[in-house]
Amino acid sequence: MKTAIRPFPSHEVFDQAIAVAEANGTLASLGAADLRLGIEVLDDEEKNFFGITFVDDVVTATGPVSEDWYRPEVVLSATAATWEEMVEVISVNGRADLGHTINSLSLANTPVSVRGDDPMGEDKLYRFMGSVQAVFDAIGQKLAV
Amino acid sequence: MTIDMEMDLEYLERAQRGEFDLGWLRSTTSEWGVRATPSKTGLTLRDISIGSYGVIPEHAPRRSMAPRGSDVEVGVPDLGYTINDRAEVWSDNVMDLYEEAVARQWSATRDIAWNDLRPLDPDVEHAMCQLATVLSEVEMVAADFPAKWLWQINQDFVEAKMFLCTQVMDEARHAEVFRKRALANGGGLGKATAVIERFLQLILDAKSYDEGSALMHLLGEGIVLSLFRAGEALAPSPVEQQIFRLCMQDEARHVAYGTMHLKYRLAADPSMASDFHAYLDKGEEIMTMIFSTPEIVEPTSILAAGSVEAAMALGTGAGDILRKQIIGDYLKRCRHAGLDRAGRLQLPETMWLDVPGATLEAVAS
Repeated sequence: MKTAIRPFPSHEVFDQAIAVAEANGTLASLGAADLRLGIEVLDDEEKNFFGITFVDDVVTATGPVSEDWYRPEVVLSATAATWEEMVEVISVNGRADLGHTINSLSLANTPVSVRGDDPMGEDKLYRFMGSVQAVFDAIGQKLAV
Repeated sequence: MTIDMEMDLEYLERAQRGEFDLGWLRSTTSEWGVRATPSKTGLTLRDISIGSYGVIPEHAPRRSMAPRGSDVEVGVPDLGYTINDRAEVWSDNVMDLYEEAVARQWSATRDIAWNDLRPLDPDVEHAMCQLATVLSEVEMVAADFPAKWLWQINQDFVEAKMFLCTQVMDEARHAEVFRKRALANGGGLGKATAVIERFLQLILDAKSYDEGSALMHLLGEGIVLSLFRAGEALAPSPVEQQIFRLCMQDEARHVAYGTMHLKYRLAADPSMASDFHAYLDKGEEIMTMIFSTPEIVEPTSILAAGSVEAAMALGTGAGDILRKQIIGDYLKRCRHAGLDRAGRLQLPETMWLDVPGATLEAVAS
């Protein structure tokens, strides 16, 4: 079994995933995006927050940062266990299976919850869902390299 | 009315002698010296929205196809546009949405891994085909409706017209991809129902763009966006997952336009709130019927459960979650646009019970 990129979550993991998604052409094929996405990882004692910023054809990872500083348009929030499980599935399959896409995990707002300052921020997640999923899927693809 | 279109023979003779008119060159009144700067991705609509060219009138001064900002000759014909006020069609995000639509087009022929489809359990294939039938049916109305109104929208609001053109293309592709899915894996088209057709009729027969846009962009496409999200999660294979994800992205753009258009419209004329409430009252009555249509409820339940038997054992649990999400998202978008539907929903109470923001008390708290 492949092992997920570690340590997850970390700035390095997101950086590497973005590099893979850019190198394999997935992000470019989906088209330019414009989104400030927050990733919140809740642990027993602490909370980690990361940002993935899509501007035109450029995607960058930020973090850990404070949510107030990053000012995301939309935040995906879940426990560390939920994120870990998703990453494990991706690492095994090379991409998210049907039950572990960002969309499916957040469909009923659980186990991943979606929050935004306004509905337009939340809808932006859906407008760029392909690009967001490409970054997460690349976490698994990186391992196959 | 006849238009004087006679050839100016005297001008032709003068031009042959090299006596050019040059009025268009020497005495134009349109702004000169404009130099738009491309941004990172290229030259966007926002980049060229500068100087006098970026001034979008609240009321179009004429009804011609003359490009906004051009030097318009006296005597251009009246082309009969009926939508001549900016607020009737504008939204603050429309230029960005146009660029996004152009940048994120995809092909139902090439971008879906059709060869990866595998035989499914016949009942699940049937469910998928029924859902594909409904979606192929409803998606085309979202092309027909903007197309019906496009030619009536004044050319001064060309960015909004251009966005609606992308929507027509998006919806054609959605109708295409779901028709292809129904025919690609041993199934075929399912049942088209009267209740869905009545909702489509309501949109097409709308007396105004305002009415149709509220029913379609905000209510109808909001429902379909949630169906696409559910479809991505309940897809029987990665092929359908990809279809739903790509459609979801397009649909969310249309909903974003509809929400922000309503916001712009109400900000310009708050007294129109009562009109929009009345439009949505009608739409929600049909929504009730759609939520109780077997051709929608049952295929999604079967796809969620994996078989007819499992779905019947579970009942409509998955559908209930989806319905609450649809209503909750719809209420949030309405509120964001400045139209609070709390306490006004025309749905049976059992459908919105426990949905945040559905009651006045819930909003107050």
